[in-house]
Amino acid sequence: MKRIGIFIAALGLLALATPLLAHHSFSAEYDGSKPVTITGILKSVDWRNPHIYYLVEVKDDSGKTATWTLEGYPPNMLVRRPEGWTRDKVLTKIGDRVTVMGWMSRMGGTAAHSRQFTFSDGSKMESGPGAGNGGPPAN
Amino acid sequence: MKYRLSVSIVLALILSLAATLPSIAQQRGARGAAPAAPAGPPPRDAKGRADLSGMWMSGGAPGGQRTDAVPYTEEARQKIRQFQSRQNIDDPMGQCLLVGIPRIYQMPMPFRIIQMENEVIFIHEAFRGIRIVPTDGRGFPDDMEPAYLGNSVGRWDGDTLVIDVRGFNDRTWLGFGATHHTDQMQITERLTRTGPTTISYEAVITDPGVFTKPWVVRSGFSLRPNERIREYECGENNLEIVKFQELLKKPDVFVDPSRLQPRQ
Repeated sequence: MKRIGIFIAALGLLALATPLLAHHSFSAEYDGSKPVTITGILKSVDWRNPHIYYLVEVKDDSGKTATWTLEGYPPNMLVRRPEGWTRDKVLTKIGDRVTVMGWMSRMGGTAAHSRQFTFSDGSKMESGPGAGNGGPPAN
Repeated sequence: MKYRLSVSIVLALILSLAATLPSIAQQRGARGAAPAAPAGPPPRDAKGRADLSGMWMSGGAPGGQRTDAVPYTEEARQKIRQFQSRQNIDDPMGQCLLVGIPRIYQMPMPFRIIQMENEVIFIHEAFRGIRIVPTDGRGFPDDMEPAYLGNSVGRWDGDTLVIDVRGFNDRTWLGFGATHHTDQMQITERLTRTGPTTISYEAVITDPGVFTKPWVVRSGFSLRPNERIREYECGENNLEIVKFQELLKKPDVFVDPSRLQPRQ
């Protein structure tokens, strides 16, 4: 019986912990228990709603390159974050060496939902949910 | 173990929640609704009514997530479990469909209220939701059609704008968490400008198709004079529609619904 109570609490927490991704169920597509961090060159920024997509080219120790597709907050959420990122500022980072932390796609491969970008000048950009379950609001 | 799955969900969620809450608090402190809103009388329009006009954002989530607290019938709860077993992939918002009431207030984007003599206009950035609420005493139109945002009729009760909303379709969720409803839903909203920068919000939601009693949702909005309504075209880059179809082919992604229910 105790476990039933825990289960009910879990449903409540599940609900509570998935408040404000702007557009779709995070957990359907990404695994919040599988964080990943990559470093590479930011090749492109697809600045469109309902999600920005970033392509980052990552080279491994053997010199082999892989292109990662990273989903991020929509422009309308990102520009309202306290860091003050705008489209123009983000686009100037194309070509920069970036480190990105995110959550792996359930589809596998080199796809993830980004959580935070760290640019070569040390500046940071929170680009996705914090806990893998929808994350905090951007307001 | 019958409940192994639920226990693992508990652990994952406690961890995720612990990570989420400080961030929410931090952000609200940094940019969100000020903890202590300025006190004082609300501004008034030419007719002496409290004026709701301005650019607003939700000061917090107005509910719609805690399905355990929602007075769903057992049948409706089973449907929720079905949705959850599919990781809420069926959320209509994921298809970029217009978000309904009260969820549209919950979006992390501002909305503008324009109070006119005989109507109050809501312009939501999110999903370009527009509502024109007559307050001149007229009733609902004779030819109402099921709508995402329903059909609204407003009236003033002192400083409170009361909006009756009927004629919803069944194609929205009331929040995350598979909070589905039927086209029998009716909502009475109450918006009260409680001060120079605040509106209190209450929605009483009835739906004999899924609820055992009315569900009351309360929230608040804070004035955001420096915001502007930006364009939000959700359908332009919605790759999820394609990706979700691919995910549905991977059975390991989804949870067996029978494992989401305690067994006898």
